[in-house]
Amino acid sequence: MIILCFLGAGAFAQQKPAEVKIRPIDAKEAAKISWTRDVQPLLQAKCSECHSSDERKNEFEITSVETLRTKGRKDGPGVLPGRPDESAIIQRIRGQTMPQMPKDRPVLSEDELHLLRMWIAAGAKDDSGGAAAAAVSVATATTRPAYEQVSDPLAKEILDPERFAACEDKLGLLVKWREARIGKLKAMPSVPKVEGETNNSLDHFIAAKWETDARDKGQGTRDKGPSPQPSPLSTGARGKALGASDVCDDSTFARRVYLDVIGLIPTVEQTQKFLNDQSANKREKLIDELLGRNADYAAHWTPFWEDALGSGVVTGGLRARGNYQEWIRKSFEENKPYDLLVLELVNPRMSAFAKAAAGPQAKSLTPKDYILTKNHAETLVSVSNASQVFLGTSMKCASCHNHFLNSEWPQSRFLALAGLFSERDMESIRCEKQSGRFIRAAFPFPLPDLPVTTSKARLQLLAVSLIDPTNPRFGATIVNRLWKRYFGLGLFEPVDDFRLDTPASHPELLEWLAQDFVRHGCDLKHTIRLILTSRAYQLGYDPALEDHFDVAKPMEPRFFRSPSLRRLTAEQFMDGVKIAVNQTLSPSARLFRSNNSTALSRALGRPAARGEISTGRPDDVAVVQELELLNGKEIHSIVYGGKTLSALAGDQGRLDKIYLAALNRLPTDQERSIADEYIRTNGASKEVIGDVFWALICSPEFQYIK
Amino acid sequence: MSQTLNRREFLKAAAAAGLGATLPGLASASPKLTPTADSMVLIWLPGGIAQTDTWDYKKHTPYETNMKGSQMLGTCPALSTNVDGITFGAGLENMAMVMDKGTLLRSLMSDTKFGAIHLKAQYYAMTGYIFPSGVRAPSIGSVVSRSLGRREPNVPPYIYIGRDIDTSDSEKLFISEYLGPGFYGVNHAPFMIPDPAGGMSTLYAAAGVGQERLDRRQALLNSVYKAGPRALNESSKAADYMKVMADARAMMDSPVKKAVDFMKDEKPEVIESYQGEISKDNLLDKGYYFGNRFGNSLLLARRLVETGARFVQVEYQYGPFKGFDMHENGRRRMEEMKRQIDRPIGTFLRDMDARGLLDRTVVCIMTEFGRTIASEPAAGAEPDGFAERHTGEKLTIANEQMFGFHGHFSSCNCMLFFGGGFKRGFAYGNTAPTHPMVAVESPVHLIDALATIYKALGIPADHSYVTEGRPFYVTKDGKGEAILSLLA
Repeated sequence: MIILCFLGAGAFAQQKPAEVKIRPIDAKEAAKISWTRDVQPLLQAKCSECHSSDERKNEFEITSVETLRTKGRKDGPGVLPGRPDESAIIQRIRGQTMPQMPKDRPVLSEDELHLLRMWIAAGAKDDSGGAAAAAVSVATATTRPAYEQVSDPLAKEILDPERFAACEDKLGLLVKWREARIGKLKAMPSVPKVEGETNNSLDHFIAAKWETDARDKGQGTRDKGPSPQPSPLSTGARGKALGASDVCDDSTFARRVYLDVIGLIPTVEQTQKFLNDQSANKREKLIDELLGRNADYAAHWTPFWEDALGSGVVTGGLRARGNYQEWIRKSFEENKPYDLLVLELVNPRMSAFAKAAAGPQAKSLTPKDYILTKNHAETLVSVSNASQVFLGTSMKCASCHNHFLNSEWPQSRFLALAGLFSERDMESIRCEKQSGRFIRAAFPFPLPDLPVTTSKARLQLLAVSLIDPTNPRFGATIVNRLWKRYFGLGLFEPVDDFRLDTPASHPELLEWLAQDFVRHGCDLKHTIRLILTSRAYQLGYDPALEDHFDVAKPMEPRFFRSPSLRRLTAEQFMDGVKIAVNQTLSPSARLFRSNNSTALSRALGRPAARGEISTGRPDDVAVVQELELLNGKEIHSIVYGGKTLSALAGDQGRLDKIYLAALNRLPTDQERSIADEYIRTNGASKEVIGDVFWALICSPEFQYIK
Repeated sequence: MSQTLNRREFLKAAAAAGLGATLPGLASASPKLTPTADSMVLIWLPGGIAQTDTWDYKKHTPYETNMKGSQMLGTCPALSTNVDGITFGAGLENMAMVMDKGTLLRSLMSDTKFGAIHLKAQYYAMTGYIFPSGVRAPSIGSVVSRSLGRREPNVPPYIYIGRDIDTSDSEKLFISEYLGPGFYGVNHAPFMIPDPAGGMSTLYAAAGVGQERLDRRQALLNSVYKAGPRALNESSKAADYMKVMADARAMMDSPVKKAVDFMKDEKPEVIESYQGEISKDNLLDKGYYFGNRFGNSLLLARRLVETGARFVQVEYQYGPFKGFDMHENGRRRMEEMKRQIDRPIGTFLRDMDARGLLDRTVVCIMTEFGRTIASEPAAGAEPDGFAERHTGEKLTIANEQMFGFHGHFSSCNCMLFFGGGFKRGFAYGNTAPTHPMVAVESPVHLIDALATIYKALGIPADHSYVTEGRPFYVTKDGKGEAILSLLA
């Protein structure tokens, strides 16, 4: 099969060029095109495998505007500013010069070609801060420090470690800088108009895709006659007509939002309070109440970041990246802006919160050792970790050779980034062979008016670039993680492997969310609130409408017509069971506080140690895990040792209470009679009540967030 | 079409798919090689065994006051095995009599120097990758479990005997990770049997529940689920969850339970023949004695293979500066450790062979690195320490406590293979007669040793599973090459 494909491709490769249409260029529109934001990422995705500083086929190189305008052997320079259709790059893409580019790959789309032509027509301007050309190529001349390459006093203060350290109000400075940089963002994508019911802008993007899909599907019938008048549908029915699920009931919502915000299920009392609340905005009220429970909110986030940062203590001679539990917990408790949190981690000397962390606890509250750079290998791990977690970009492959599967990442681009983590430029070591060639340090995404390279204070430039509002991956990565956290699937997937050739399911929504997030000061709670209050989040679970992601079919559309079923994490499950049977849980008894790894916690997917980072727990079901639920001593003693069991045994209204306690809803008549009969037959003892709890806790309704 | 591709096919497919390099499906499929073994027992002896005092005998140089390190070549007399050309160190009399059943690899090398760090070397030995590998790497047992699945329906594919389960000790936490499934997920996690005498506790109803009530309770779970929300009844995820719950219940009727009942089933003399020949009172380190655990573990391993287990790992539990991790009194401690393992392993192999089990089972004996002379009597402080390549000229052995191989030696090490298609009565590779005792003939990289084991089991060295959007191979980068000379 594969061989046939190969022959096929080879036999037809030399045929006529595939046509890519060109459109007239509007000068006003053309002037808006940015090299760093629009053109460079496109060329990076399509051409860098053969035409980066790593390969340079035909001596043609797309890494900077400078190289595009000057380098090239057979065709001469690729880009002639102001003359798009005479430029070699355009002639190659259109197949006017053969072979057509990208060679043996799909041709560029009409829009992509148009974008490129517009940029050239407008003069092929370089807004990368000018240093890109020198930076991405192998070091030849000496570089100046980043803060000497900028003239803006604010930029100087931010990039110069000494001036930064001398600043009294670091927080104020960072906020001012962020504001200035937000000014360089392009306009927010416009929110589409839709017919159906919406709670906020997010729903507009989601519903717009439903409507487009419905139109596309309806095309067959529309062709046969005039389109039917829209019937006067109720809002719910209109959603149905678009194939989406209805909004979930209050019980489902309460359980979902409790688990999502604070990682706990609600108690009977909390459930009833919400169910009995008659106010129209009670869902929003509950979301705000939960987001305001700072300690619980932080407790739920902590294990996620411990996994993602590889937090922990590993002895036996292994160098750990530090134990961040307290720092993470505190940071989330005070809702530290996400960009400043990352800044602190990557470059602790830039902490704006150092003063607050002083005192006896300061040691555990100050991050350190996240970036380890003692040797080549250690540095590469630091880069891989940071780019995976904060840029959603998997670069591990590129650490020793060009990425096989992602042409965006030739090894040199990765090593250029690594040079910013280190104190000196990195040597190109390909598949363990040293080359003696050093790669000039450079941030991989040129940002407007910021140098991409520097000779010293490298970490300072790295940290500032990483969290910059105009960094195309920073905001998008975290809002996408939030989306996955609350819907079960990301807008782009896999969430750690963002690729230009695999677009997001809702590219405009992703861009909108990312911009909205940075424009609101990287306030995680702001975006979380936006997501949770959206109608899309509050839809009921329907397996027939659930989206799926398959790495083999990354282009399959996702619609978010129903949330995906999400398995509880080990922490949510263990803490939830304790609340179900005890109706109370002291903060210190939450699982994330425990250093103990047990057969049960491991079976539930909680890592025993965090030597390697991970940004998601597996939701596998396995026999070894279910045996722990069936017969494990630990779960047995928690369920049957429940504080409420004895009282419930003697309580006539017990079934309502048991269902409210375990599943946060009342039982149906059928459920009531099943459980009643079980209790009647076996006697209303503490053990038998425990059996009922066990059955509910082990049911999928408890195990999953629906 | 096969759901998994080897390295070459993978790259080819990715290239054919163009820029949108898509990935093949994730599901496992049966690998294509013809196996010579269906199951495996891995005897894991972490701590770093002095190869020169055990399987790669060097000239006995008895202790003399102030002898030079370079003069200390072997701390025990020679022991002939039942194979010409293979000599052990004394103290392995039982193993010496089964060497005709297996292959000795004397020239195993590591890709790096681990210095003082046991855990990194153990991670490497158990996964074939150097820590940190960037991915939660699966252990050998998990690779076999995922690639080959269960051999019998109700027998777990990966069973691990002889290691504590619940712990907050940070070293043990790290160990729990590297012997686990890594990114393969809990489906390929080992079923732990901490002590064979206690069996696999989750196969038995919790105290006070009893079989009848357990089934009643599970019937209640099924009714509760069926009567519950419609959406969950229609969800394939929820249905899978319930199916696995039923599988777990079925596992409780597993023949593994019968295998665990060895104390009842086996004759006392058989149980006795599996035990080490030393008591706690004879040990220098009395706090590090697991009684009959190791012997019982091997007896249980044999019974599990008979029952249909795919992969069983038996560990002599590692403890820093305990057991095989000797940094003083090496001669005496080595003698004691040999007496703890020799008879159990010898009996196990004889028993396996007598029952015909070696025909289709690979038994492998591993440790994380070898030993050499130390530059210091105890653990050195130098960062890459342990005098990896010293000749010993500069070391003076001033007292008997210093007499022994106390230095870590990543450069060379032994590995043994019995049955499952490996040659019988065969030795491969040779090492230098003086320090540093590196491989001087046919050096073998760990990756290729692992590839050889996988080949015997029918798993190609470039078999892979996808994680984070890329393939991760069962041997490092898919590049392992089986050493055909080791196979019959």
